[in-house]
Amino acid sequence: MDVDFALIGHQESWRAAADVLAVLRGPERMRLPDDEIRDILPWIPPRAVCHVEVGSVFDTKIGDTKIGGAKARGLYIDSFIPPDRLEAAYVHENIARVRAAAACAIRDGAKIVSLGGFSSILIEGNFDQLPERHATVFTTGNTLTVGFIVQGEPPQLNAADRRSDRRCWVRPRSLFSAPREARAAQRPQRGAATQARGRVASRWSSGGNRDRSTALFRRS
Amino acid sequence: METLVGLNCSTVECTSPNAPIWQDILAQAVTGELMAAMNYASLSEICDNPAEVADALEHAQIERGHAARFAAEGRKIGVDVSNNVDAKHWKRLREEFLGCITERDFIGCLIVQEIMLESFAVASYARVGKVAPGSLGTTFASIAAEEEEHVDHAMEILRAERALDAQRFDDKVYRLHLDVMTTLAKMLAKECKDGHCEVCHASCVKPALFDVSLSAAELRGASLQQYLKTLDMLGIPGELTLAWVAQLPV
Repeated sequence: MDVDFALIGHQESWRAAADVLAVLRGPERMRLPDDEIRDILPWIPPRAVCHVEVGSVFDTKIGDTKIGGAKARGLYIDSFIPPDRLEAAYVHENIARVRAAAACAIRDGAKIVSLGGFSSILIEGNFDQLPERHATVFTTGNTLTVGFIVQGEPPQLNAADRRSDRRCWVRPRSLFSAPREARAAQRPQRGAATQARGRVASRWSSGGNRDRSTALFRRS
Repeated sequence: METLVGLNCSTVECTSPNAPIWQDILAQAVTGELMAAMNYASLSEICDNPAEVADALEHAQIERGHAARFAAEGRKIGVDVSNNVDAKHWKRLREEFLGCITERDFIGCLIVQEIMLESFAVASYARVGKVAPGSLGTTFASIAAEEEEHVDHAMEILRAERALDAQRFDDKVYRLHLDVMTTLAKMLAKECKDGHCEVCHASCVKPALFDVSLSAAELRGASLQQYLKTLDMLGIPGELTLAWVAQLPV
């Protein structure tokens, strides 16, 4: 079934990555040693990690339409960019990871995809770097995007008016981090990351035989 | 038991300081290829269609050819490449495949051989192919490409099978994953914690892999990545397969 939205992110620390893997392994298995996590995580292809469901507890009115209790179903897709590989030397590898994560979101039919954390910086507003998008819309917003998804249009964002009904146990970098973003918005923009985000923040991009088979492999 | 391949090895003086490392890598590869040949030969016994029987036997022959090519590469560098399909991990993998044969589970056989074992072969051969010198590297890379074709061929059948009942198919893959991939994960662990693998000719080769620009962690990582990508191509949800892989022993 198609999802309403997808959130693309990555873990901001090895500790966060270890927590994710620990949940995936389940309580009956011992946590992976740190050195094993550092060896394994970089090889994991981008993929959905969990489902996210968000909803509004308050009634919202858009025009004459009341959309109280609106809910949206989504996916968190981790690009599995290793926390220690954010520097320029890995830019091509990381862009490939974001592209693969975007492909996951498109394949799952997400209507809108938020590029969280370092993902948006890698794409730098050039959405042509992403795969064929079909009907999927990509944004570089984070918390704001979630607000848009829940409320259906750019809201008067107020943390008290939102409820993040998260069944997702990951802590993707920068996602759901309204206080930090609010602080960032209040201070002068600085640094490449902030500037890159600033450049793209106002843009809501849309756009988006094998004849040799032998009999064994032609089984119907 | 029928002899699957005549390797006709002769011991020649080693010409490279890394020859013993390549010798063990080749021994694992030859063992894997011989096991694949045995698996295809067994598969031919449960095929109903004569064309399928012929194809399974042809695949067995191809795998024996791979084993012979690896053995020949060993001779070129002056090492005698042994093999041991009864080594503990390989024997366990063979038993798991034979379990599918006993149940006449054609799809299960393909999942074990083409999705699990071939993922491991494709990924590890490709990595070795990048660093091994001369014709040794070329041979590994070339056989990796041929094995990848095998996987591609099987994907058509397996996708069609999954389309019939995705839940049932995914449950079957998971059951086989628990058995086969757990064994493979132990083989691919950074250290052989359960004792000697019974394929390396002396001590475990894993610590020495750094000398030829490889590492056990890299081979494991590449193999798991290939496996996950192959499962993705089958259409199994990525969040599901991620949990499967995360639960493997290290």
